[in-house]
Amino acid sequence: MTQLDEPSKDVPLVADSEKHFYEYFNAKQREYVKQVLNDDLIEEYRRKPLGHHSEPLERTLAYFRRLPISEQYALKQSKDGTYRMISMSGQRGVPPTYVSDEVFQTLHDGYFGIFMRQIKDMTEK
Amino acid sequence: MAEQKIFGYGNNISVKQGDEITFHVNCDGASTAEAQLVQLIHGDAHEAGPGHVEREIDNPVNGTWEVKKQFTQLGNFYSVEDPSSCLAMEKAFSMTCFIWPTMPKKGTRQTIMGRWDTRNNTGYALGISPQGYLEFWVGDGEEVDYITAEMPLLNKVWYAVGVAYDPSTNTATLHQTGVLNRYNSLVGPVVPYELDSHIQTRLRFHPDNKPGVPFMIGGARDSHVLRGDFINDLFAGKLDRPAVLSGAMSHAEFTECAKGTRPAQADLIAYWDTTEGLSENGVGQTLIDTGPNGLDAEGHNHPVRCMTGWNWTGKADCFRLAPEQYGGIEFHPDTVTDCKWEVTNRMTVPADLPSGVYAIRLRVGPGEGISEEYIVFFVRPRTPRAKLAFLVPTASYLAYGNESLSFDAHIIQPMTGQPPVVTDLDIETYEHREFGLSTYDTYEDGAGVCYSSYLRPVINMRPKYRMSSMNITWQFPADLSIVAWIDKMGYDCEFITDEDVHREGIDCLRPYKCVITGTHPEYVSERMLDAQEDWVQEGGRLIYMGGNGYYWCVGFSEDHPECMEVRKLDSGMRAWAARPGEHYLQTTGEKSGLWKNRGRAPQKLLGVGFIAEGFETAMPFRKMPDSYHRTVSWITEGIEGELIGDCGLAYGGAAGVELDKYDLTLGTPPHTKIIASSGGHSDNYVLVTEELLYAYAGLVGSLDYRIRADVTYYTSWNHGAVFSTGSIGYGQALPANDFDNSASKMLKNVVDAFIKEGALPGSQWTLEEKQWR
Repeated sequence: MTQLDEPSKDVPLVADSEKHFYEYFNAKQREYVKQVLNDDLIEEYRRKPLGHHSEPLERTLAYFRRLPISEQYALKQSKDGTYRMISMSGQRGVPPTYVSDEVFQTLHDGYFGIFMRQIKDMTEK
Repeated sequence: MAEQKIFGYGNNISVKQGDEITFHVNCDGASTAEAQLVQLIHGDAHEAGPGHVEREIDNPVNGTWEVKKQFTQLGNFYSVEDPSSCLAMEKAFSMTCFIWPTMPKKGTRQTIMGRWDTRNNTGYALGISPQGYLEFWVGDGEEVDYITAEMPLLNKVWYAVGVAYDPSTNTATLHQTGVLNRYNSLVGPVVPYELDSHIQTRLRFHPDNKPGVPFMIGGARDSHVLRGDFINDLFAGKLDRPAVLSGAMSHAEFTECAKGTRPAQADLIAYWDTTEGLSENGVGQTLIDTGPNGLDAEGHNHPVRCMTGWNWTGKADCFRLAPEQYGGIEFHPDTVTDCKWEVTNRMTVPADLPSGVYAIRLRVGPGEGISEEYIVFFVRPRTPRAKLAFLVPTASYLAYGNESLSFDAHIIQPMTGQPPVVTDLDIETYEHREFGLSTYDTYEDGAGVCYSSYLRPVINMRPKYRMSSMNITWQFPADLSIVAWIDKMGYDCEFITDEDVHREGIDCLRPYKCVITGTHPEYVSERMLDAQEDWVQEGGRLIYMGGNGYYWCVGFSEDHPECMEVRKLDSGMRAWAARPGEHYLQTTGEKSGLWKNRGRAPQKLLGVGFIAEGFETAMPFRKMPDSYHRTVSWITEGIEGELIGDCGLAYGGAAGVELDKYDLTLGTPPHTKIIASSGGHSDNYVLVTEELLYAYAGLVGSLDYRIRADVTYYTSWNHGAVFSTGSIGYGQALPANDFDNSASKMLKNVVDAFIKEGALPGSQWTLEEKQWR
């Protein structure tokens, strides 16, 4: 992980130099979310995925929702009314792909599945 | 078996009894489809409502239709009629143009102009190589030879480019000069770019100018074994004043052209003056050749005109002020405003078919998802008879037509506060992109989409469809909740559309005592506003059922009523921002953007205007003190308690999605009464940008009192009146509990009063009470 207090001086040249700050900012955001992440916060989301949330959960969701499109998820509704998690391509015109074989019976379960997947992605970074 | 897919559109969106309508269908994986005329009543499968409701109608058009694969020509280009083959250049010639490429490294060839045929490599053209270099190429039917500039073209920088070709020596000279100034390009003159390149070479052979090859600006002819001829090698960016000259111009002559000097008429074969015809009222699709041969060019899929040109100096902000600086025409390879599919079938609307919302339902194979299509149209009465009319916001349907925010918009999840829920239909449309974009999308080069038409499948203008990013119905399928309510209440109602009001003005409204709008009539033309404002003064009663209505100023040209234009600018909740100097409509010459910024805030007619939006929850309304006043207490009569609209199909409440409020400072009529207001919205509800002077923390639902919807009522001249719900979600609240709910009750009170002739309830009170608080 990037050293937050002393950004690496061995930086590659990129087409858009703002990317360096974006990565630094996201690392700081992740650091906060990891600090507040606990079973209670997960339970709060499971109980109520939409609407008013506590500040730690609202900030956690803000981090997840602002990730690059290629790191975001959505639900694909099947003809039988169930849902599967898909991953957005982030490339114009390239369709999303299924993340796994897991089938969610309700929309609520699907939202929670995405939330847990995003936590997994974050903790693995 | 190949996947079965069916899509179609009609040649009209609004037809009268007795009119003919044609249907244009594309089908993959089947040669026949089952067609059925249906009347559409409700289109939202939400469990709180009646589900999808349609009625099959007997008609000779029903039955098995022969269908086939039809192809769509995407992209902007101009085709030149040249019956005398003036442009089949056998002698020395030159071409010049100003260009502002937006995807120079597109990876495929782009044609600026030429008489080039890709299918058999004949002719000549000036263009951009796949690697992003200016290039001139010739073909003799077997081989292609090129001359390529040495410096790459840069994104969004204006250049003068040209080529001189002399067949006597077979020499080609390519010129490229940067004409970047302080205003006209993405970057300024401080950037130490090398922009110029001048190069000469001897080509290996002469171009073979075969008969019948079309001269094109912005594209070139190609061919495909199944599809036949089509236009390929499309240009992305702006072109300004393309010209073809006789003789091989010298470097000095090119330098004069690069200064904007028009070549002598005797030297011209064609000079498409892109500023010719720019007027107070905009400009059309024909590009005028002011050279000696009159080789006018015809635009395809609405190339965007009235754009800043190579010589824009930043002082004039409108093409009407300095037309000579507005020669820019913008080309997009991924646009379409007319699919031009062959007619699959046609129907004469029966003279006794009641006015209403109809569709041809087409099914192939499993007959669901992408193997089911509804071609929606609205039937008007030949002779209006009803007191009540539903004004279908077709302009707003166009604005959102085929939006793909879930897939491309980085802001969509923070905005909606939820992950999208997509279907096969969404993915199919997104992946193939054959049916064009919405004014909420951007083209591949990042420019906002300013034209949208119904001469193409509009996949979200159908029943059953849910907007994936918000997982609710939106626009047409949401408006069906109002249609279902009208049906359930048993009102005699006729249907008119934005297109009709734009074309006919107040005459379209005069037959009716009461007109009810859709849930989100966001896009309106000046004629549409004028007609409704005049009609209310004459005694018309308007029920505005929306949120964020009468917001964007849009235009339609007389010859293309199917195609709407909008430019998004300055302020407002907007998906893109028009570039400086490009804020005026090609179709009418008006400034686009928000009506508020043109002195016609929606509050002036509706009593309310846009204040906030949010997408994961909704709230009920609460009666306000005004509702008990004896002039308006009839509106809430029979509603027990304080709450109105505490259930619904859009997040469970009548006040939600997009909200409007009363505002005296923006022209709400001073005697307007606030019947009910919402409040307590979640922090996903945020203040609209046009209300912002300084941004500061906390402009969200739980902290800002302005974030609410107001239900308002005011009276006008001659017993006219306007009742507004101020919320998109109100319409979707109507079907809850089998239409037996407080939102339904209040609306019924208003409609019952509005369709009666004579004085309105409450109007017997004194003038002072009626007019002033």
